[in-house]
Amino acid sequence: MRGEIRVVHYINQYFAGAGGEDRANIGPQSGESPIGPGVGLQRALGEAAQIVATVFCGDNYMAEKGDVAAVEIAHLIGEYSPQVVVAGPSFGSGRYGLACAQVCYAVQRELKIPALAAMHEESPAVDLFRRRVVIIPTGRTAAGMAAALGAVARIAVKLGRGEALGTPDLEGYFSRGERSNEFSETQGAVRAVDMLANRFQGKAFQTEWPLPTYDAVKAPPAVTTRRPIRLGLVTEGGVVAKGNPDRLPSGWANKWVRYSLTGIEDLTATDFETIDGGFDTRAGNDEPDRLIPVDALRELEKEGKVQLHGELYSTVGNMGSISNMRRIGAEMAYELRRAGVDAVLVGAT
Amino acid sequence: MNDSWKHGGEGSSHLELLTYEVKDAAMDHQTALQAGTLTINAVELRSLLLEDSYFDDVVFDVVRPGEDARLVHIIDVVEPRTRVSEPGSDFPGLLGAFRTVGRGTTHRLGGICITEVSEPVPGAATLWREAMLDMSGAGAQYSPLSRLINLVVEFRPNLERLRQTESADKTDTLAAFAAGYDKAIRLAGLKAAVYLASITAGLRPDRRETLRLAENDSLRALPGVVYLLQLQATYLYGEILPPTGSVGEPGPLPTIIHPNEVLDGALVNAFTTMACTREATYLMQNHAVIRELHRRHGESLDFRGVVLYTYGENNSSKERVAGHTANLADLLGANGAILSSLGGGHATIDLMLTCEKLERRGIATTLLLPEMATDPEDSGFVHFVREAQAIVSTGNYEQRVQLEPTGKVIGGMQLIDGHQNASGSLDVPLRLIIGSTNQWGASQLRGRAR
Amino acid sequence: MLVTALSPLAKTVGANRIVRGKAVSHPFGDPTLSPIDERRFRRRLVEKALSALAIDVDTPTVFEADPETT
Repeated sequence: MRGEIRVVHYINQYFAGAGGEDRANIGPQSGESPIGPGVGLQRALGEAAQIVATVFCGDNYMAEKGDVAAVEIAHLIGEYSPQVVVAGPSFGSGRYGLACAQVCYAVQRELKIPALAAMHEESPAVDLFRRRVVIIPTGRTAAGMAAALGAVARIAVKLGRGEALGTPDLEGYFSRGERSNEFSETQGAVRAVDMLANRFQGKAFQTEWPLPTYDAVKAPPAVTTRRPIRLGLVTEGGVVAKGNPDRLPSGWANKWVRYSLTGIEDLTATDFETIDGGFDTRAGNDEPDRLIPVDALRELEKEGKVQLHGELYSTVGNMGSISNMRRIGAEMAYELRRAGVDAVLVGAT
Repeated sequence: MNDSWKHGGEGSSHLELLTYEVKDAAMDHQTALQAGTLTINAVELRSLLLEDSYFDDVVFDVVRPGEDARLVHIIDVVEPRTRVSEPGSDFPGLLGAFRTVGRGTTHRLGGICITEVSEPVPGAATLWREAMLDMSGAGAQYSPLSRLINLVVEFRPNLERLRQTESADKTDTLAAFAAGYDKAIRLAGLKAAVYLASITAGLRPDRRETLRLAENDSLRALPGVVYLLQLQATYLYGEILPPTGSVGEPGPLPTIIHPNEVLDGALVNAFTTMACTREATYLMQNHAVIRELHRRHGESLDFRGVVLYTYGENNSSKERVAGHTANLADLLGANGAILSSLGGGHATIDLMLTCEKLERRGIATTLLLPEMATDPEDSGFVHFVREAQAIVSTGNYEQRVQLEPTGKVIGGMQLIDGHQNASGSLDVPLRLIIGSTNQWGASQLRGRAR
Repeated sequence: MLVTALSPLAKTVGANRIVRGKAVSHPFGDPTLSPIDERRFRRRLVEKALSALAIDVDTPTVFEADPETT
């Protein structure tokens, strides 16, 4: 029995050697030894830990059943009483990456033991799960397997021992996207002059406050239809029906509202207003078309240049958290896509 | 440009700073400094400060690092200084006529500061008024000022003077009195600073520093560094630097100043802003970035000067401020620049615009910036530019700290924000602790990704 | 198509098609203009936005409105 640390390894059907896409629907299965990349992982773990079981599952099974499957797998894993669970490495894969992250998250919740995944930063699972699961960065493809396994083994042993991990940049995992204070050994002024000195000398330096990276969304192709463009209307400037019957908040919004534009030729001050707390609302209240130009669009519609979607979607961007705004945007997009619009005009304040 | 700044000619900005260390302080019959102990004649000092009829009384206290004591309602903090080579030239524009500072010989008392406290008077603005300091316990580590002996001066307003002021509009009267009282407190702090530092006449200093940006041939090989200091609430030789106009007024254009002027009393705090980033006079007299650049001048860099900038109130004004600030840095011969910003929304935009312009000109930048995220997943940036790749964080001031109850509170009974009992246990954001996220890097606090 | 006065920020954040609006509190309006002139301004701005939909872009692009409209 190597070391005291028991590890269970989660992989997908492909890395388990069970087959490719044709077997992506298989449900959870297990074996009491390292399988596939688990063999390399066990080598990397050395005497410090033992892979007591491998659990694998089809990527489509996971994609379709989501968290329900992840919980099922967590309980299967639990039968082997591990101290730590490793999922992947899944490299650039989308479904496999999500499956790994979901399994880890379920293991943490259901079994209350640590888990870690490993994947390339562009995998969608990173953005969705980095706050909840320790995820180690890897290369894009399995060509980086050896390096990935080394990093995974090092952190798996630490977690298995119950040791606290250092900060993401020191330990080598994706930051949870959170920040908190600490005391440095040196004054900020000294660190600032040091950082500039490193820049002069062309030496590597690390910013203490990385700029946000936003998803790069590939631009949809130009709308080239000959018929009038079907246009959705969205505002984040808090345009609401007068009196704000749906109680859209003036900031920190976690919801959005929709108003029928049937029979409405322009947004009037009697029927609409803005309740956004992030800017001076006088101009928008006097003339709500200044926030979303229904009047101009109706004019163009009469000339056959555009066809307005039947509803105005509205939310408040003021002080909005990124995660809420992401979700609101996704919900609006889903509805607009279902309604068959060609494009969306978004008015922002 | 006047080369005598650097060539050591007539009127060069060559400052001899003599430090007299204070290891303890106490009230006594005579104001004197002996073997590191400062004694203060409270009667004499009180009499000096009460020359200003804004005050009904002033009360002194001495608190030491590690003592179970908490100061609240802090207005400004000043280091005792006097310019012995030009008597009567201290804090020009405020205590006396304009005189260029930053040259000659200045005496300072080290290890001690004068801390002005007062309850806000009716009519005083209370937003950003609260500033506190714990001398021991969990809160002490969050301010660089807790490591100093604080001579606390508590001011009491002369309400009789308020009653005697005639005005048709009661609101005006109160606001005018509050503004006058606030300024009177600051001037009194400066007077006390000079009074105490004057005791060093004839004494031998513990340390002597020469602060001079000497010019020599080796400097040509070193990268030129300019420091861009963003200010919001500061007197420059007695004139308030940013205009106090309404929203929509353009910000003033930036200006150039010699670093020694900043260190020698040209800049004095003018009004209260957030405690965590308050432009306390003490922190300008001992400006961390300027001190560090001075230290490395001639060794690894050529410190070319300081640009004072503020921020514009609208887009076009911001472009003007940022553009001109970058121009001045370039004009001074910057190969690199350190930029500090008060943080928050408005001011950070100007910082970022300036950074962008400098980087695009090939001038490397490093920014010093406090964080203000309330949501853990918030990046904390209100605005940023891709060029801002080198940032030193001075900490997130929205992060909260739990402070233990204290045996002694000076300055007031209740916090201005939230009215909590000032002597009890407190749960406050770092925003309320003076200098906690000092944007000039005086402290060691920083933010880090988790 | 995103219409906002803060077009530099929109570009940094990665919106692909951006048209610069007039001001934060009135992207599609200009209260200093007479009602008729303002409606003309708004229409021109909207036309600009719609025309950008017919153009392919690779990276975040700010479509500057005509000088008259900003």
